[in-house]
Order: sequence, then C-alpha cells, then structure tokens
Amino acid sequence: MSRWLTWRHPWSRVGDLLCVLVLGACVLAAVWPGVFTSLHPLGVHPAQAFLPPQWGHLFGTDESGRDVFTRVIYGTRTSLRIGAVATAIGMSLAVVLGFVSAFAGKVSDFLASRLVEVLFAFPGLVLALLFVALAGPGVWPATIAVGLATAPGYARIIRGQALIAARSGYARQSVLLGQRPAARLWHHLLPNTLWPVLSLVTLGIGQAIVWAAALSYLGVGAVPPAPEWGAMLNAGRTYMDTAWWMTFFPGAAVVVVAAAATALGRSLQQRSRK
Amino acid sequence: MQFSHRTFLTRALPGAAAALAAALLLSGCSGSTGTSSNSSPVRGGTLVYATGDAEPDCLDPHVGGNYPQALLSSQYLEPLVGRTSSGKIVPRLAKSWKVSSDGKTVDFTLRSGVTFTDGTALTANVVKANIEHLQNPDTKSSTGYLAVTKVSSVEAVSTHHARFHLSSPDSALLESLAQPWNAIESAKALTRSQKENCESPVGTGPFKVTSWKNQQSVTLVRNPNYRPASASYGTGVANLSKIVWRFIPDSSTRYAALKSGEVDVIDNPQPSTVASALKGGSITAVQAPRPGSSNRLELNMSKAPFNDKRVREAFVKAAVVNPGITSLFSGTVKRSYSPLSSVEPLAYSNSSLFKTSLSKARKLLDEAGWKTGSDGIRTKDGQRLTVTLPVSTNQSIPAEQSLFEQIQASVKKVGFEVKIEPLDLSSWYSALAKNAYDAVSAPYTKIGPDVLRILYASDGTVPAPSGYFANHAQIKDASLDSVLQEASTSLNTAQRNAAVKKAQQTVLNAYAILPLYDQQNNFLVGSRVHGFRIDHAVSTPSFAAAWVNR
Repeated sequence: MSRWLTWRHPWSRVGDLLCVLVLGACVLAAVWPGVFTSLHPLGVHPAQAFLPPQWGHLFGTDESGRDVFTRVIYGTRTSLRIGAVATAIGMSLAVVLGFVSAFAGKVSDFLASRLVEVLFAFPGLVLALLFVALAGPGVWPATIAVGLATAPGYARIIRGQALIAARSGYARQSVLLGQRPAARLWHHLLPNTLWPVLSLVTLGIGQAIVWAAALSYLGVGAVPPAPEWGAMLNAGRTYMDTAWWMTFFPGAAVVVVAAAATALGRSLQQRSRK
Repeated sequence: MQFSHRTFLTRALPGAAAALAAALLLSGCSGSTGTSSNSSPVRGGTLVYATGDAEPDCLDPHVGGNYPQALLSSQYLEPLVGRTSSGKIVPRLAKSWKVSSDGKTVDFTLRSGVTFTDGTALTANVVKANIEHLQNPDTKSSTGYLAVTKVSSVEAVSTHHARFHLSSPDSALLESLAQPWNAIESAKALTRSQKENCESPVGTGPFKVTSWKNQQSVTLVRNPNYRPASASYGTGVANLSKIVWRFIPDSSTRYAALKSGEVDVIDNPQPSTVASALKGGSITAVQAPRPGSSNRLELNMSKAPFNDKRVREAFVKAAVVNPGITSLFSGTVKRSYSPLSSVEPLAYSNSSLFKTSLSKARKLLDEAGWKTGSDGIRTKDGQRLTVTLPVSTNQSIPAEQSLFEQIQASVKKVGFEVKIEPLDLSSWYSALAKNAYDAVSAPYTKIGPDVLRILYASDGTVPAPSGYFANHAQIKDASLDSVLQEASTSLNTAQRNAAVKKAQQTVLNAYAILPLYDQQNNFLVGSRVHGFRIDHAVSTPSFAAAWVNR
C-alpha cells in the first residue's frame, strides 16, 4: 500500500498500462482480425460506397464500399509486421556494424564508422525511397528499405554501448582470467550491450510503422487494394472534402499505435537508466 | 538519429499540419466575385493553368505525341485545318483544299501573310518540311507519324500551294491533319537540334513558349502577330499577356490551388468536384468529350491467358463495371459499350456482349481447362490465372484506379488474380514495350474512326519510331485488317460507314476489349476567367480569346 502511495509517477504507470493495452489489442488484431470484425477487407460493394460512420460500418466505407474499420483492423497485421521485421533487419545490421566497429580493430572501426556516417548523410526516408526506387514498390521492399534506413542510427548507439561494455571492469576481468574472446563476446559483451538497446527496439517499431505508412502513402509501399494504413490515407486524401472518415481513421491508427510504441519505449528507456 | 517523442513529433506533425491546412483550404475558401461575362475584355494579365496530365518530355508534339503535349502545344501551334464540335473540318493555316477524283492527291491552299514567331513566313515548303519531320525516324514520332503514313510526299507547287501525294486514298487525312500532333512548326526552327526544338518549338498560335522550368511550369507569352483563321480561334491578338502552365500532379492539391485562387484553371479534376461545380457556384465546370477510342481495358491476345477467347470472354463477363461508374464518377461519365468514344458519329455499341454473368464466366474457364485452386485462383499446367494490369498513375485519375480495384475484386470471384501495378509514365511505357502486361488501359485520342486502324490493325503491333505501338490488344486478324483497310481508303461514305461498323463488331465480338466509359476532358474554371473555350479538334483548352479580371 505504502509503495503505491509513494510511487513518484502514478500517471506514467497508467500510461504504460494504456500503451501495453493498445499494443496488445494490435497484436490480437494482427493475429486474429476476426475477433474484431466479420467483414472482409477486400469486400467490394460499390452500391455502399462513401457511407459515413454508422452502426455496421463504425468507420464508414470507402470509394468501393469496403468497410474502413475492417481495413484498419486488417491493416494492423501489415503495419506491425513491417514495424517488427524492419526493426529486426535494422538491428541485425546494426549489431554487425556496431560490433565490428567496437572490437575488430582500428581499421575496421574506421571503415565501419565512415560507412555509418555516409549512411547518416542521407535522411532515413530518402535512403528508404532510394531503395524502393531501385527494388520496386511492395510491402517487402518497403520493409527492407525501412530496416536499412534505421540501421545506421542503431549501429552508432550499439557501437557506443559495446565500447562501454568492453572497457568495463567485468570485461577486463574476463581478459585477465584468460577467457577466450568469443566466450567474452557471448557471455559479457553481447548481453550488456543489447539489454539497454531493448528499449530502442520498442521505440524503433513505432518509428518503422510511421515510415512504412509514409512509403505507402507516397505510393511506393503496399500495392492496392492491400489494406495498409498509409495506402488507405493516400487513397482517402482524394476524397477528403467529401469523405473525411477515409483519411481520419487510418491516420488515427498510425498515430495511436506509433505513439503507444514510442511512449512505451521511452518508459523502458528511463527504467533501464535507473 | 534520435529515437524519441521529439522525432515522432517532428516527423508526424508537419504531415498532420499539412493535412489540416489542406482540409481548411478545401472547406473554407471560396472564389472572388465574378464579373459578368458580357463586360468588355481586359487586355493584359496573367492566367495560371494547372495541369494534372504528365509533364511532356518535349514541347514539340511531333516528337512522341501524347495528350499532355496536345494540351500545351495547342496554345502555340496551329494545324492546317480545324474541326468544329459537329465534326466539320474548317480552315486554319490552310484556307481551302481539294481532293482529286482518285483520292490520291490533295491540294492545300495556304493563307498568305501568316508568320511564325521567329519571323519566317508560312509557305508550302514549310508544310513539306513538317511532314518530312514527322516521317523522319530520327524525330521518334508516334501519333503524328501514324496519322500521315499514307502521305508519300508533299510537293510545293507554289508559295502557298502544297500538294500531298498519297500512296492510297485516305478518308481520314483531313481529320488527321487537324490534330495538334500534326501541327505546323517553323521550318527554320525544325533545322535546330531536337533538344532545342523540344524546349522552344516555334509556331503561329496565339502564344509562344518563352521558358520551361522542369517539373514546375512552362511560361507562354502573347504572340503579337497572331492572326486567327476565324472567330472560333480568337478575335485577333490574345488578351492575356502571359500564361503560366503549371504541373501539379496531385488532384486534391490542384483543386485546393484553384479554390484558393492560386491558379485559374485546372484539368483532370476529381469527379466529385466536377459534380459540385456543375451544381453552380463560383467555379465553372467545362466538360469536353474527347474523340477517338473509349476508355477501355485492352486484353493482350499475344500470350496466355488472354490468347484464349474463352478466357477473355470470361474476364469480360465477370467484370462488374456499372455500379463503380455510377458511384466513383459522381454521374459525370456514362458507361461505354463501344471501341469508339460516343462523340464519334460512327461509334457502334453492343451492351448485350457485356452483361455480367459469373456462371457463364465460370463455365468458360472450366471449358478452357482452368481449375480452381485452394486459394480460389484458377490454375492450368501449374500456371496461375494471373492478369497483370500496369496502371499509369499520370494518366489514370484515382477514380479510374478505384474502378480497376473493383474489377479486380469482381473477377476474383471466378478465379482471376489481377495484379494492379501503379507505375509512372516512363515505367508504364516500358512495361508495354516489354509485353509485360495482360490488360491495360490506354485511351487513344484521334479524330474520326480512323483510330480503329491504328488500334486494331495487325501492323499496329509494330512499334512506331518512338517505340510506342498502339495495338495493345495485339489483335491480328486478316479479315479485320481488310475491313479496316476498306474503311480507311473508301471514298464512298456508305461503304466507309459500313466498314467502320464491321470493324467495331469484330473487335467487340473477339472480346479484345472491355469498354469502360467515354474519354472526356473536364476543366474547372475560376471566376476570374472569361472567354475560356474548347478547341474541338481534340478538346484542348483555348485561351485565344480569354481574359482575366484584374
């Protein structure tokens, strides 16, 4: 009881809970969309086009009479998958680059650091656009593009963490104890480098969802008629003066999910510092 | 890179703010009070035109020859003849013409005293140089080239008398020569490099090109020596001193710019905005049907699956089109059942061929050996029943793209998997050149039924010098070829009309195409603009007599 009363940031706990609930609902929607809706995301009914939000069509219908709520729900799967896979790609690349930088000698550090700096010179979205322009539009190119674009940011942070870990007392101890470098890397350096990065992953997923939506919005991500939030925003924009619900709800979904992932990531980050 | 709330806010907020700003623009602004059109014209002033058509690669419409070039070049080039809304051919640079009794010689008498904006005079030799320019493979012409394939030579009989020698009679020659892609340019200017001529073509029209900022705008200024052929083409030198021709590809941005008064005239508006402008208000909607083909899906007969007529018929029978036409186009277009635009007097329609029947479609596919797979998509010999549909996002408005999605959904019910590929114009052209399509929508604008010869004759599968070929259905039918030949060469009206009808019936009965709706230009005109007209040759806007309030 007293623990609850003396808690410093009661709202942060409520906030975290909300974030977890939102993300949990998203995962549920991504895995079992049928829990939320019985309609089909590609079910075209031209006679029911442009219906405003109402009972039966909570978020209204689009230009082809498809239910916007159903499409937003099914869009969760695409968005979360892009967010998770892109972050995994970015992280994997970053771990390699970061560790090469930190442990493989000065020349490797120089080369890897310059590579990261060159990649940094391009704004992330430009880098992603470049990749999609070369690879062609689609969900997978967009996912890889976002992964590639986020890698340099992670790489720099991982390099910093890895250097801290390498210079730490326990790492030196392990050298003195004659532990082999591979064992040292596996038992000490990797866990101590990656644990603080975990919060970054949560933040990164939010970021990746926004970027993937941006790519689809620009017409280089998900291909029609796939239910994807960015693509839905783009399609709805044409009808913004007559059918606001076509842009409002997919836009709100991006904002809510990205905000939840970002806020949760921040909170995790603060805890890891304590 | 920072992964923080701040990053999220700085990335997401500008987008949200822009969306909000656009929403406010769309909802809150109204145009200034218009003056009545009977007040006297104001001389001077600048008109801003915003086009949604692609930016041309070259401002000389002889090169390539697409509709964006026609829109622009009608402002600074004039053809030999013009065409009225009823289809009558009228004088422009030529004041009269005479076709020989065997139909193989056509004599044009040119107007005297007409000068190009580089100071050179219009003569028969200039006309000769223009036809030779169109026919020269180095020009890489397609539309203009295909329209003059029967012209074997042009002879300059005297200064103002040009004689066209034809390889065979051409019932469509005058209609062809009325097109912007066959307009007459200064022969002196044509001797410059193609790059130079593409940047500043020289004509006799009401305006002339002064500058071109790529991906932004082309600036046109008044031609002080413009002499219209008749009152339909202006009353003299243009009132406007300048036209800024802007490229704004996004339809909502274009409409917002019109509403805010930033631009005066837009083309390719969304159907819903046309519908609301037609109801009244400060913005005027001008609808101008285009001659030539209807908007239709052409089914590629050169390879599987559409090399089998049963599969084509099944696709056509399974495609649900009408409800989409009604809801997506807000009543601004009508369903077409013809290869030709309904403004073509010889257009032949047959709606009975296009009645939806899913059961018939399934039966046809069963007969053709396509078996339904576990995911509902049919397969045959390990191949899925996939239809690749590349869509040019520069040419298809969003409503049309949505219509394709609806067709995609309806044909899926019988086992077709349609892959819609949104592409920019150059990728789209290259997809066609590589035969990497099963269906495509490529409306072709041409005056008169001769468009059928270009679109459906076997030799239409052979690329023009530009690399473009027009027979996207890749229909090759010797009997159709002979009917088209008859339509094109016959000087007997009844015989020509019968051949034109027969050709259309053949194309429709072969299920080579799925007609969707008529090609139509829509313009939204702001209240500041007066005297906006349509040049009825191919329905391009004409500003020869236009003026703007100060």
